Amino acid sequence: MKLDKKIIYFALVCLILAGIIRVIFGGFTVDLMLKKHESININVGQTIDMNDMKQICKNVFKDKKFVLRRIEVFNESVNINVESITNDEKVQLVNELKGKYDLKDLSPDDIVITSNSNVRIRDMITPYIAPLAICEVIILVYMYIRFIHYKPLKVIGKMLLINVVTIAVYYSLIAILTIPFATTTVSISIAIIILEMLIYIAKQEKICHGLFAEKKVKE
Amino acid sequence: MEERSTKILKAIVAFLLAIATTIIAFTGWYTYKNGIWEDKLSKVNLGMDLEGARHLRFILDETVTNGVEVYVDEEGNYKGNVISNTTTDNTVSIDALTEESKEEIPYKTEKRDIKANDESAITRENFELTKKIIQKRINKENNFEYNIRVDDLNKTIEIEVPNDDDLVSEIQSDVVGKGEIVVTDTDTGVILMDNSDIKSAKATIGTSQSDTSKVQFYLSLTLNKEGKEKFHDMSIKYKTHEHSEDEEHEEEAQKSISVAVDGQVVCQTTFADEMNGDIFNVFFGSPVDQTDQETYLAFVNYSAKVANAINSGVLPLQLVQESDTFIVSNTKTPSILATVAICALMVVVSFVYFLIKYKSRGLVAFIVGVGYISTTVVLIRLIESDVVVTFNSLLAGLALVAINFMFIKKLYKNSENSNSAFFNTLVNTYIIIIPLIVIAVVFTLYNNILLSSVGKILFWGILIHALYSIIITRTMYITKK
Repeated sequence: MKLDKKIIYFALVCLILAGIIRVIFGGFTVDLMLKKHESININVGQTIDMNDMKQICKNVFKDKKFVLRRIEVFNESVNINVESITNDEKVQLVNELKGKYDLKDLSPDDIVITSNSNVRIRDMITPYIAPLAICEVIILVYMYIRFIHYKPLKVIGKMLLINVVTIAVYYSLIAILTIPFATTTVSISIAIIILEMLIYIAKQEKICHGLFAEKKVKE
Repeated sequence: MEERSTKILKAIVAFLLAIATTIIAFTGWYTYKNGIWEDKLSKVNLGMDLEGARHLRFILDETVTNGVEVYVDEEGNYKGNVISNTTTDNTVSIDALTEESKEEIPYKTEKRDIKANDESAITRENFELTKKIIQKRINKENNFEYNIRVDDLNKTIEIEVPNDDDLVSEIQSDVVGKGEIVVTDTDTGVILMDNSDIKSAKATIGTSQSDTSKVQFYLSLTLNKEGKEKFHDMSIKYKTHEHSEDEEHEEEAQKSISVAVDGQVVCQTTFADEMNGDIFNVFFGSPVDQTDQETYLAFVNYSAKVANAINSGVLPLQLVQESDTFIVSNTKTPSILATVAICALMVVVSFVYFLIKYKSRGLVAFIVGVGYISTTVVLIRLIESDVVVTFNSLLAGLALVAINFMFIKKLYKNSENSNSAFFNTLVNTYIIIIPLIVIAVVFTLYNNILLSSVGKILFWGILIHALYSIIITRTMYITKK
């Protein structure tokens, strides 16, 4: 095996191991909306400019990550999601809203902090497992038949290995770089596997086409 | 000269086709029928990640009914509510029962405060079980995306569903209805049979015995071993009295059983014969005229729902809805923005690539590509009405754009420019994308709206690509036969 290939394989193994260790001891970093967090629904009775509301939240929550979403379609209510909301932050929020929207009657008691529990990562992944497993089996069977004259077991073994390594590297990178695990994370990983499969099949077709042409010339 | 004018004509046709299909794809295809303009294309259903979701929040029911007179066995287990002392034409109060009837009741009575949720039932395990049962009910009946969050500390369950009022009502009944079926003595209220005696339930329809022009809905309960024995005993004790000349027998009141689902009595009946089987058919309401579509469909849905609730298990916790809020999605998440950016970049890069490398032919190829995407959108909206556009669907769309780009690039690389070269390239491209074709077929057939939407987009996209390439793309630049 060439030296540069060995280095690449060694680097991949280290990356995957580091990712596994990170997941075991620290878990994935999860997007705010998927983990346990608190939220407030606010109705100001007038059209809300989301940029203004964003600025108010930045002033109140400072370094804390927050997500703002509109409620209903009337643009008068907003849903604020933060990891946690202290009483001081609640009071400050009320004061900022009073100042911005002229809400004289608004008091901290009017603001209800709702606790939102987490969405489990396994609940997000479970719907994909069975159909993807079925697809993988069908594709492997097809590849075995397609490349029956060109060491089929080696071809499908290599593809399985590439699939596993690709997924392991992807999730390891997400864990190590603390990229938040979001609803789109699983979809992107599936897209990457499919892309890698297509590239592999295209490459194998080229190799087999070349071998076939060589065989014909010899004959 | 003639060849040049043919080329120009083809380019103009490609351009007009692309414009037309793009306009139809994004504005609709309206026809005038019965005095109104109707869009032939189905509405674009956006998923929760793009449109937003209805957040249904459920909390524990804390109602307490004080001083209820109940039957209890020797171990203190609840065995039914004593029928109210207020008599009507059909009920008999416990005090008015004969000594003989009272002796038949094998339980003592006592007064209890009945809580909707007993303290001992409010555990983390029961919250998890409640979540599993709700998921089972939702997955069995419906095909839509949802998220469910359980917070056993704050004792809440939140379910996020698409913004559809009918769907929301279905979820509400799935969550609030415990799925408890109870067979009681109509007169005394003693529980004769419950969910623990039932193996499975099925909603069925048969011709009504009283009116053959109508249908009767049944709940067909398959009983377990214990249930079968109880059923047999019930059929003897609650047999329909035949007309008798014996005066003593005539004086005896007809005993009957009541079947209640989640506290609502659905049927009161007696047994014509002794029953030895394990199937107990429970009538559901009165016979229904099939021409009365609204009532018929309401019964179909309700009986299916009840059967599904019984099959999925009794919810260990009684929940009530606290709130129902529609929260608009935050589409400016990094992933969605990145995907949109990649799509735009792909379009720009492919345009520049084709223009620089192949000049006028390249421009035609780009326009043909735009026409293909628009045609795909139009045809999918025409053929499929339940495709949900989510982030996954956008990725599927990106895949179709990439397939078309790859195919045209291969085509142009082949200098032969003939029919045989065209079909060779098409076949070679489709051999490479076999994994996508497999995913398209498997996902389309899967009973999960998110996966089936992706599958349908890929399936129709690839099929339309094949037809579009043969009809349009091939015509646009084949110059040699």
